[in-house]
Amino acid sequence: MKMTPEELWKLAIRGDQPSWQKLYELFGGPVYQFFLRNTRNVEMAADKTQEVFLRIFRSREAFGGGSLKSWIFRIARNLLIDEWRRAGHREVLSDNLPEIADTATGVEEEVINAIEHAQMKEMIDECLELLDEDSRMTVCLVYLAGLSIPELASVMEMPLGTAKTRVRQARLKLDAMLCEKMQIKRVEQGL
Amino acid sequence: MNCNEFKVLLSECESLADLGQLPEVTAHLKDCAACRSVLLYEGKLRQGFAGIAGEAAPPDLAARIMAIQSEQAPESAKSAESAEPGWFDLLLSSLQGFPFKVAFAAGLTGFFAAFLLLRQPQLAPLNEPATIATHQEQAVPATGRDEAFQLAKTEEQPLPASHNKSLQFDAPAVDAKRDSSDSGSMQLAMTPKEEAAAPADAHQIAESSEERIPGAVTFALDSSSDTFIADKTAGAAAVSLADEPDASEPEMQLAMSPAAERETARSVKPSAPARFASPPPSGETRARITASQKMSESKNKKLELSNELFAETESSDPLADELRKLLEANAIDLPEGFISLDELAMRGYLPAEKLRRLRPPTGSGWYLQKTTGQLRIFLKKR
Repeated sequence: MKMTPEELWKLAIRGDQPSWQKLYELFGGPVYQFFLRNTRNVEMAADKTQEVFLRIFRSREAFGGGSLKSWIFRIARNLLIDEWRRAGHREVLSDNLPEIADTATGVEEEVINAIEHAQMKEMIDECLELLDEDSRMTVCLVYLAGLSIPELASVMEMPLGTAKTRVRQARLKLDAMLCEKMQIKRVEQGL
Repeated sequence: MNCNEFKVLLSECESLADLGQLPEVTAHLKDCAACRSVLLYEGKLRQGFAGIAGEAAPPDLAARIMAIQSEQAPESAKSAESAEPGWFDLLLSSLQGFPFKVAFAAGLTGFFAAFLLLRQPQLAPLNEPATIATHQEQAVPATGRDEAFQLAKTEEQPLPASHNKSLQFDAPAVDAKRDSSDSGSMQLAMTPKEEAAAPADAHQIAESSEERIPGAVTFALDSSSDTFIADKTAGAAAVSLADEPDASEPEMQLAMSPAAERETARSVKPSAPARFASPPPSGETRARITASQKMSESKNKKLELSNELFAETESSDPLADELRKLLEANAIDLPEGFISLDELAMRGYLPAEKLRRLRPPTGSGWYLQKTTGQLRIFLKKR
């Protein structure tokens, strides 16, 4: 019988090692990648991932139900913001979002089909690096961590509508970059 | 369904497989090539992200994270053990009610006050001169007259005229006594003004009243004037040694010696009752007493402050609970002290609406206290 993350969590905090390991298998990779894509620093990403698991275990009494995934990524997001602030980044997540036009041009089906999985991963990685921090974090939370829009709203402590707008804005930026890269690839491959 | 509706659905759906099973979507995709390519693109994108999320983390990370559980579990057990209440915690918990708090604070204050009061006589130097009052006749112990006399002496006020009877000096008689005494420096109980005017070695005899009970020995401790008095019944004469700070050693010995010796020494009437009285505090002693009183005042103030703090800590506030839950839910590790809500807001932990609601009144702030790993937040004056 497959157990939910919350059920695994209950067992893990009582000292059940297999449950704890299962939780790491579920969330360790996405949390690590979330930090890695946002910091581009392997050691820091590992340290921050460890910090997230340390904090959830220390504050285990504070988890009062709800989505475990949301709680884990809320802690991860807060750690990331702390790190950005420590590194002297600008203020993050301003409330006034600039309106972005849907400039994504359609890409033909055959071009998309021709792109291999590995190529797609590489392009996504390149585009993520080019994205601004707010958009990158939003995209990572939704597509890397697999949060739904309501979960994202909970993690980022914002209304659902604002969360939707943020995802949309971030996706438009990402899509524009990816389409551009795919067009270049199309030319390169002679499609 | 049109293309826009399809795009909205696409952006909000969690599973593309589920989306493809909707009849309206299937119908639209059959006719719209652009939306088919969009769906294909979305699928590739999500696969790409899934591939990235599934990339392996460093091999040592798993070991580090697995160690957290085994390391933290004994620590939490230890903290649970240390969290068992000791005798002081039990005492504090028994003082949860307000009347008990008041009684406890009053008891402590009373204890300090009693301690300071009892401590005052010991502050007087041992070599301070004493007063001996020798009466011709036995006096009733601790009469109002004696008390008035002591009070007048302490406060450096002249005695009332009615009391002056016992302090009337017969100059020739005094002269005669002075002649007959070798030791000198003996003074009958006298007012401070008289003390100041008279020479230190004056020998004076007071007319004693008739109410004295023969054979009675009385002791009176007057803490306010820091005076110890002993009335010893031996005869009718009363001899007083003025408590001048510069009283000589022979005077002190005489004052402390048995009545018979004193009689010999002074050639005063035999079996005279003696009065021993430590002096009012001299300059140094007064300074020490004042310092001691200041100390007790500051202790009382500290006690009041600690009581205030105790009262503040005990009050439970839903806003404080909310703030505590916020810190715990986000695993925000703040140091003990005042919490800066603005800082939390800037770090993205506090939305503007929550910040406004949690904002403490002017002049006070949320104070974070950590006790045995638990967070306690309460309002405290800055």
